[in-house]
Amino acid sequence: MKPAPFDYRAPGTLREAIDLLASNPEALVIAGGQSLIPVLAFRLATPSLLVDLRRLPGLGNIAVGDDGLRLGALVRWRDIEDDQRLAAAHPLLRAAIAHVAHYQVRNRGTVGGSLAHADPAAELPGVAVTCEGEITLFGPAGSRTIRAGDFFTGPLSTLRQPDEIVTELHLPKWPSHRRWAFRKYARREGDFALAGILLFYDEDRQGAVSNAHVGVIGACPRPHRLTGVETLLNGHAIDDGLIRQAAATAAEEVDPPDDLHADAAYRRGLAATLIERGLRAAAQHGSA
Amino acid sequence: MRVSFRINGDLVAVDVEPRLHLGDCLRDVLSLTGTHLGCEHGACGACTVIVDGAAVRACLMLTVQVEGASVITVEGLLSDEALSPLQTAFRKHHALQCGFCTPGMLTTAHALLTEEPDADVDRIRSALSGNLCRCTGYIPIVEAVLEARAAYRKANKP
Amino acid sequence: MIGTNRYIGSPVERIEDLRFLRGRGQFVGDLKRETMLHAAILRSPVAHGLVATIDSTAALAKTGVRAVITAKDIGAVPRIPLRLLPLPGTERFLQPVIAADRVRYVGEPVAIVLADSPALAEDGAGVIALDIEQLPPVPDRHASGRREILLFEEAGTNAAMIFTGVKGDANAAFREADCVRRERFAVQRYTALPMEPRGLLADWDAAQGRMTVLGAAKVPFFNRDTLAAMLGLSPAQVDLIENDVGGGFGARGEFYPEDFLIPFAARHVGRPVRWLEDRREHLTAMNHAREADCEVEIACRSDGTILGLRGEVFVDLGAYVRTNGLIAPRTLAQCLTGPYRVQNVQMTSTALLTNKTPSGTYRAPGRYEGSFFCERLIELAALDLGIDSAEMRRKNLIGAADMPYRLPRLEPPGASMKCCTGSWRRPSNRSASVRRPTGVSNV
Repeated sequence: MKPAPFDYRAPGTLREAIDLLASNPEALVIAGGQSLIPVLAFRLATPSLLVDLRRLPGLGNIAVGDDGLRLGALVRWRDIEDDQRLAAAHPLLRAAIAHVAHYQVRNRGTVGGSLAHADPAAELPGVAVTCEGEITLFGPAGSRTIRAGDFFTGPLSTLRQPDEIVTELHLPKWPSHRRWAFRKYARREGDFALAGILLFYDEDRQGAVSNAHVGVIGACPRPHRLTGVETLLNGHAIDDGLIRQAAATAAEEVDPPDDLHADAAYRRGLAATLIERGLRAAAQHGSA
Repeated sequence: MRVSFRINGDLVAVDVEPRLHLGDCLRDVLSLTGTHLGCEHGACGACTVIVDGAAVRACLMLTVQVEGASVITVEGLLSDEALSPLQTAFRKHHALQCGFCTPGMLTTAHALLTEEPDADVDRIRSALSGNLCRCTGYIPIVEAVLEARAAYRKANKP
Repeated sequence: MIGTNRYIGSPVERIEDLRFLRGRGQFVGDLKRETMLHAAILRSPVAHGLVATIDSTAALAKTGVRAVITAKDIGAVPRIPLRLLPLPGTERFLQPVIAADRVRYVGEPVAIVLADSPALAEDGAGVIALDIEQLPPVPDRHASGRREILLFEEAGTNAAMIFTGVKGDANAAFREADCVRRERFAVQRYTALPMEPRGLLADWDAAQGRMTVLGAAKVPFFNRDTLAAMLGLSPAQVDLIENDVGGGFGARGEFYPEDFLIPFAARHVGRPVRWLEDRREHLTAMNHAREADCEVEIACRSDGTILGLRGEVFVDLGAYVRTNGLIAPRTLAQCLTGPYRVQNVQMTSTALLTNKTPSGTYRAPGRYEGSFFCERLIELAALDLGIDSAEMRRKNLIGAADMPYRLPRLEPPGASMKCCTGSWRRPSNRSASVRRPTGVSNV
């Protein structure tokens, strides 16, 4: 399981990195390598060149500001776990990232890598989509920003062109009284989600749900929002009946794959149960 | 490509293909065979080493990526022939049988306890969840790591 | 007489831990020879097919590739004998050490590439042009039993062996029973998955006519004698050395194709050869185990006394009968009743060949499956009878008075086991006050 041969460069500027990608159509970008290197080991990809982003300056920052949260592409899961500001600045992100893979992988895996790799069961794409994040890419024509909801087009598939590099994820500002939940089901700790849900809502003056955002990972070809569930919740007070209806709606709304880890019916059931648990916890404690 | 880095405190320079992962470099180029390869795709944790203080899977790093870094392997966990408190605890609790997963368990536990000497049993189990063992059933390993905390707390006292 | 007891009852620290904890174990991958070449094995990508051509031209042209070995280079391809239960009829289904004209499972060795590094060997294997005419595969034991596709045409069957275990008169017992429960159960395919994949380092000393192989485990004497015979050497000319081993679990150590191919390669090229199995090939190359299903029935009196057990078990054995492949099927026929006193037994266990990785032993071969089948059946019978299932088990446990306990008579008789004559304490009375079903089992 040794990779096929490739050349390797670790450019010092973004421009240089883009130029390398543009002039080598068989090149791939490597950051943490936690998803890419196994792909190379199985020879599922045989790039002629790896362009390593590790020397690029300025991509490792976490900025908390009035316009929300900005995560540089080289921010590692570990950096998110270690950043105490995020407990208040984005608790949903923090909760989701704690579930990514294993301890050793979290020391290397990156924001940019996860978004570019676009595994349908991955946590960060789920956060990005659920929270209406925006992904910035840099390419030969300069920067462009794409809404997360549009960025992911299918399993392992995004709008990123081969000569573009993800540079930043922006998540809107998170208000302090927001109710939220993250729930994931996998058979073993660290596995990809067979199904996972991310949700938040605010409360209007009457205490009813407003601004509900409900997203799914794992039980779908790409992370997406369950707009049917959101519509059901908005404007109503959370109670048992509404929670059960939301779960049932979620089960209908998801379009899960059948694979050797779980069939579609099982994932549908998981999604419903996770929605129910998430909503219950968010309603009772404010967070989960 | 020429790569230079620190290994267990010593500066080395090697000349390797870009595709050579760190695990193979340690084992075959530097003859440090304590780091074991159980899967070569990041699933088993047997190859765990410590790079710039963080536990990482050596099979998921290319040698060329450790340029300028400091790498610690199981061989570097102690500087003399005596066993470290962590290793002593492993032996006492029978936290190893065939010994193949053991280096990865030790480096992971060492990295964890160095940063978090007060890690509780849930945190220890979570951090070790990325290390597979087919022999012990894990409980003796967790017990050994719990016992070793005392030594890391002592070391952390100013 | 030894004066002071220092060991019994005390936890004894192991000497080998000192090297394992320091990272100084000597697993076969840690060993090398200066001039050694590295082997990669090209394995069949299809489950069933006829090998038309193997073209190594591109591989041999690759940098660092020194040789490619196929069946042609070996000549008369040896087949791997059975270490356990070498019953008449099994010789038809033995595995050749390398595929010559036919492949029967994904993972079957087809060629060995020798190169200056494992990566270069893998590069070479990747460009060997393998032309296989695919045959329809036999994917499970049902298809196997239907015999529309045979793995070995000359044998006329896919049933490698049929075992029967008979005791008393099961049919009479079932006629007289107050209660009969009949069920189907299945156990999925397993693999032992030791943390260390396999490896071999073979060194041929031409001057002395000595073959040294490092990386042996568990049964080095049988393997040494087998290898010597295959290489046309006397056993005294062959040394198999066991170093540190990263887990066995019943799968490691048996004579596999590579146990011939790597030493052969070393002698063929006149240089030491090291092969380290990677995890992906391990999953198709190392013995699988336990895939079996059954239809069994239990006959009881209304007080829970077990009168009889009968049924059929089918074992999915994979493509060949391997060195210990018949152990589990045999044990299922003869020992399915486990620790229980059952006077009337009629069990048939059929080992069927399929186009999958061959099966062997893994942790309590035949016992795991048999225990599940028997214990589950007892559980259901107890439910039917309205009796506490732990009590039902206790009532039927073999006791001191039953010793020596007579196992069912096995056909073929050469494969029979003998029951141990020990005694064991009955489990304590735990479940009397428990309303909720809890899991109880005796193994």
